[in-house]
Amino acid sequence: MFSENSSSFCSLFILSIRSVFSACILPVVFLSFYSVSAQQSHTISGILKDASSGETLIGANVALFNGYEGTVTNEYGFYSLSVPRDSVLITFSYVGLQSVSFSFYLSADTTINLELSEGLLINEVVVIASSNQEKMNSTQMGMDEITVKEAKEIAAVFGEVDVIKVLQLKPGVQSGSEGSSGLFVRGGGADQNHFVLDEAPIYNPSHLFGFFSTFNADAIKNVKLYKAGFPAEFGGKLSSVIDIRMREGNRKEYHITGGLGLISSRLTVEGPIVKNKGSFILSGRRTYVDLFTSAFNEGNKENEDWVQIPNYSFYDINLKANYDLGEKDRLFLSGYFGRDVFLYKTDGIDFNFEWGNVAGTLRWNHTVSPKMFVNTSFTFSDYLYNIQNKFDDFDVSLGSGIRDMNLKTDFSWFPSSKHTVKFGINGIYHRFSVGRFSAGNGSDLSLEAGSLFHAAEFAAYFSDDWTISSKVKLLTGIRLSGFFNEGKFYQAAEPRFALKYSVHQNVSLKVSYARMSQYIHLVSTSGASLPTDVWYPSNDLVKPQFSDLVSAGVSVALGKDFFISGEGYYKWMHNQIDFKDGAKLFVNDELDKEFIFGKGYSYGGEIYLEKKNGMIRGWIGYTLSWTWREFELVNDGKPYHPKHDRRHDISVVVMWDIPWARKKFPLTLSATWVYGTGNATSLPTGRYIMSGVLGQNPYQFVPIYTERGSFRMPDYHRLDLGLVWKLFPQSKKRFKSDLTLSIYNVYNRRNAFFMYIDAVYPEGSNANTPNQLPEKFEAKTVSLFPIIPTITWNFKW
Amino acid sequence: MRYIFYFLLFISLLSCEDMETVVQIEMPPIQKELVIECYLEAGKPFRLLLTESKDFFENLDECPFVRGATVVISHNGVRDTLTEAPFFNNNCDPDDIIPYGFFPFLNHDSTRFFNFGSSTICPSDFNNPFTVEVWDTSGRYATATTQFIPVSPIEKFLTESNSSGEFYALLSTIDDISTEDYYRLVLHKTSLTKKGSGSIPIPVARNPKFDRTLDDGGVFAGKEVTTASNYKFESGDTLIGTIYHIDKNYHDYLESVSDAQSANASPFGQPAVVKTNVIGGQGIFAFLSYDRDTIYIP
Repeated sequence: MFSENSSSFCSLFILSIRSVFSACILPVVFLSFYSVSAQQSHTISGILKDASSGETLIGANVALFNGYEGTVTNEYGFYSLSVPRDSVLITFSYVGLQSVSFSFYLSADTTINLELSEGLLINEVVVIASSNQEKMNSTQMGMDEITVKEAKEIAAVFGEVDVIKVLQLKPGVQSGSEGSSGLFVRGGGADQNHFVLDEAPIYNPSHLFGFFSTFNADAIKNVKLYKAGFPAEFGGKLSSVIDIRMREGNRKEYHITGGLGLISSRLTVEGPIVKNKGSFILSGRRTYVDLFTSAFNEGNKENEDWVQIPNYSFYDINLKANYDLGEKDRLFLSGYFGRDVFLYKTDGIDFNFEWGNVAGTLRWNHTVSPKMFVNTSFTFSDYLYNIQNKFDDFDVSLGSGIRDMNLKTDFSWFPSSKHTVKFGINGIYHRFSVGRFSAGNGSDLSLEAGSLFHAAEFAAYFSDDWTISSKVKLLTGIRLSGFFNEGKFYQAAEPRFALKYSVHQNVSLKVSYARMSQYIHLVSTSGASLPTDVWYPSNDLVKPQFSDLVSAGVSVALGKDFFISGEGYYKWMHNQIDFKDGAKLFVNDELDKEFIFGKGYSYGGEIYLEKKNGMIRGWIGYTLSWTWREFELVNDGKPYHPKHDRRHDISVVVMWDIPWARKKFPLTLSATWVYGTGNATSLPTGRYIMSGVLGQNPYQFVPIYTERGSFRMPDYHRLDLGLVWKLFPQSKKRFKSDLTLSIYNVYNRRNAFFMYIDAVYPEGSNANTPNQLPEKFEAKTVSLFPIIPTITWNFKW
Repeated sequence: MRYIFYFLLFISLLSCEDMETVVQIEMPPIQKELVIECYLEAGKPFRLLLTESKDFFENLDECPFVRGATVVISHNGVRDTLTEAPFFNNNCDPDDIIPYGFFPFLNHDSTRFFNFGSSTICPSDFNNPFTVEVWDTSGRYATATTQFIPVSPIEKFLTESNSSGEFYALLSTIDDISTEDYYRLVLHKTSLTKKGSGSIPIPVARNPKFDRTLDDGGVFAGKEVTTASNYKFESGDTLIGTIYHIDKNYHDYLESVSDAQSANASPFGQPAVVKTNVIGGQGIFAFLSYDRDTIYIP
């Protein structure tokens, strides 16, 4: 394989050589050597990029011939490998791009900066056999990675490509409810996921009350989900880390890309700032449902019976720029701004509900030496919601938010071929604005409430990934974290441990342990993620949450295309937070007195079969799990299942490049089938009547809830189909486009969004009819999305 | 493309269906408890509604009224046994000649009915608690205690108009900052009761313009406890404002009933257990102390 690809390598990449080491003198690869004193081993390091755009490649493979040694590029495309002085055969590869191999005699520290390109033929599938090998060799377990290319081939509701919803198709990850982009990872809550966009935390990762994620696929390069074996550089949330990296923009030429969809449109502009030295990308997205609702409202303004439809829209903007300050230094600036806007305006009422995130990152990459890479970042993150309600002269305003500023430095050190050492420190300033309320009419009525907290969070970490032998690898790490609020300091030591043992070149056994701490908490009674949920800091009453997660698994590479893994886990979650029944969450200056504290635990197993390459690609995931919560003041202290407890969860994702499609119009068909045990839910089991002081209808029933989470909604299953139809991809014209047809919920199943008990009244009457008895009560489910076909046109110029 | 369009049209039509589905679920039977609903008013006779909880799917023809129970209200060493309303049948139909199967006791303005009552007048006693006890024929026992709390007078009850000639109403009381207090502020329009077509009066009080339970913490700490309506009134309207000074038990009961009712119908609601001061049962035993005023918008 290596020799096959060397020839194309010769024709595709730019090569620059400072010290001659190879007979292959080619104009397409940049190689540079550092001469060093005589040593037993030398370092091969550099940056890997995509040849078409000049963007760095995250997670590209660098493998030596023996197959046991190798590495992957980090989030900035950097790799470093220490190799004994000898002849080496080294291969660079990345999914979807042609791999490159060459051999030379390693006599000095060597820098190889490469650009990998796509296959020459459109239908050529570039095989990356070593991608499975890296999974086999790595100590990392419980990690899923998806690319935007993958996400764009999978059918999406309303045609909105959503990387977070693709993550929900991985084992161990559950969505909260129908259509929701919330994540529940291995029994953790929705607030226990650490979403980071270019290192800046995103506190509310969804639009439209959770139905779409805030991450515009056009601006995203790579998404990694860690659900176990958390690297020591990550902390702050209990259950998962979702590390999202934005694209950097094309460094070679200007491009405009975009798409017209059913509910939104997108436009992205990118190009070089200085060719091959720096680039920018600016990407925007906006929904336009509000334009239609405004038109409906305007058209019916003379109609007295017309009920105004609220206007809803969301938009987001991603911006990123980068510049090479030299061979060893690179500067990045990235930003995100997103808002959801909900407006309702009618006679005398002006209701305006706005929420969204702002995030920004300034980063400096510095290659200290071929063995050491350092990244220093300053991030800013802000989430707020604000409700303004105006009744003529009477104004009411309610809002909450969180603002962070984080300074961090992360070092990657590759002292020898046996060790990869990472260490770093960070400090975060948090500002919590909780329940800021004001009301008044400018004269005799003026009310204000709310709290403001300032807190600081710190962390330092160290980890060493040690290759003990060709069969055994051991990762040990420690993260020391601390939190300062209201004069009190809380600290935790968070050990990390992972061990890999290769039974065979294609079979690895892995175990891992991680402790995670969480110092900030989401105040939510809904079990879903709503924009009105409030972030709250740890204090005397609210202790930091922490979890212990042990995992064990086996990974098997079946041939060069298939990968199968099985993992079992047990997670203990301590100091979990819930709320008293009837907690007063709004306009409460002592919100922490509404909290109750308990514990949680989750256990289960996951099986994952994946095929990344070839004409037919995809994966099958199965999860069997149990999730429990236990609070002294809930359910009489007995353990109960939270909503996201799901016994069985199956995802099948298949992408097929249809072989008989004409080359002018290649077609890729995708099918996704998901099945899940119905969510745990609570229903009232009894009722009684209440007359009340005001003389209500005596058949106004008071429901009696007994056991929490004791009912199950009907099982969930759904089939989605997608078809990507490329239009003239081989054309030499700059303008290219495709049509994406997606059908969500193909067999039109009424999957339950929620379940309730309804009173059925005789025809012609209802609950407001005086002294009217219902005929009966019945359980009903409410569904959100029937079959939804969508067509989206995407273009690139 | 033509076929794709036809296909999209077809499945769009399919999607225009009702999104609610009736499902069959098994409900475990609940332990049926006594439910006491009793509001004491100084100067008014004792009245009490005694029912029992039912399985949610139980037949609605089964009357919830508890028959043959012994109900005693004790105060300052005096035990008053309430008389049961005369029952004729177990028909729960409100439109029957004898609605609900019995001749009920009514409260003074005939807005509520009860199945137990007494001619004893409730005294204005700040110092001694009132206790209710109920024994039923199946051996169940429930009890609750409450205390008289003084009226909190209306401080402001006024209306103001905007440029369109619409009025809002504002209702307030002065909070005693030395005590922990709870209030229920209610606004009605026109009148509190009217006679319905049947024997049971239909209280229009059922549809208040606002009905808010408030505590003196948070925004009201050390201030007037105030609430206001939208601009929804016009010249010629008569408004009735009531401020109930309530205890914590009644406040928590009202809030938790509201939470429990809304939890059933909301995808985002948490199941809420109703907070009751009845030991061995459900419901509420509370003192009603209120100030009421009526204004006319000229």
